[in-house]
Amino acid sequence: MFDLNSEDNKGYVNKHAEMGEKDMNQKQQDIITIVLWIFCIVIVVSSIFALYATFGTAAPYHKKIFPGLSTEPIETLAESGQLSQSAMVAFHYAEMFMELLDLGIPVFAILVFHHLLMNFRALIKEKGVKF
Amino acid sequence: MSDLADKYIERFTLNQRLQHGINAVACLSLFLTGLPVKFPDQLGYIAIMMGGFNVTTVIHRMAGTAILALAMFHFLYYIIDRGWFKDKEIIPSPKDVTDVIEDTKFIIGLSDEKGRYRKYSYREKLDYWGAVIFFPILIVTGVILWHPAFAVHYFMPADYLPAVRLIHSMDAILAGMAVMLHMYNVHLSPRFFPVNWTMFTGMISEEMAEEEFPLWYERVKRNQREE
Repeated sequence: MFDLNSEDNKGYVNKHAEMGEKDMNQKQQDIITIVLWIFCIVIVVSSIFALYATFGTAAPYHKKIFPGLSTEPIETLAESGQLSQSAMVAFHYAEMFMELLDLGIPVFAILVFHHLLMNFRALIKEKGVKF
Repeated sequence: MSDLADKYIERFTLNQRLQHGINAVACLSLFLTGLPVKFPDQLGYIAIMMGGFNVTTVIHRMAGTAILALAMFHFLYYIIDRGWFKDKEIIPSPKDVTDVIEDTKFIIGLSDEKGRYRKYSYREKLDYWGAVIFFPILIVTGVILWHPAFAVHYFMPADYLPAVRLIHSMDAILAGMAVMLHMYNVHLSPRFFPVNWTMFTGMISEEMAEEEFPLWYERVKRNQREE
């Protein structure tokens, strides 16, 4: 539909300046991109294989089974001595902190509402509606 | 210069679009396969429809691997390219605060003009930096949950795992909400509905660029003239 490299389109936008890529030409940039992708994929995949090789099968976390822990609720685990006091504290702090973060969800709702109102206001402005 | 070239300018490179595409597909797969684990009684049917928890677990880990590779690539690329520091387009600035104030004034009718954004508005910056901050937490906790024996062997008592699991799942829910906000901002917003093609084609119409990101648009035009 739109060929960036065609003669017609060259120079219509200072692409390198826009993307902050003044120091590299397009070819160098493409090579670095490809090499970096290959490097990252190889590192990640080989790390995962190394983990499997060293520690065996991955945790079947969908069954809520962890080493030394059962599927009992956290309070029961603590009472039966399967969780240390510090682990309980860590759990409750994690719970408190994450619930605090999840208060961010209403902030998202406010932002959506904010944006919706902006569109509404823009529409009013365009159409010249007056109250 | 063709008519089409007069009407469109490049907003995202192929590299950026590829990163975004991988991120989008991987994130959606992670939500789809992760939520049934968090809420098995309510959403377990999603996993069953996909072939059971054994299948969704594999998909979840594959998508997690993609995110891990992507995060690594993104971090290294921007260090090599110095993209974060050259134009400072994506770095939060005091102007974002003034833009929010301008927009709010616009909404309640105190002003006739909304904020004039550079290349990225505060909404895009919120999406991006939200991912930059929360993805590492998800990645680290995800790897620990994947191989708890590894974590327990090297740096963590086994009974801390419930806390890690809690952080991973709740952080993911927060990330899911951020994705919904992003979907609204870029696709469902009346201005772009039903779909905004910019991240697919990399191009934005001059009209939209001028309307949505006027300061960036002016700079692009200035650069064109200087060329």
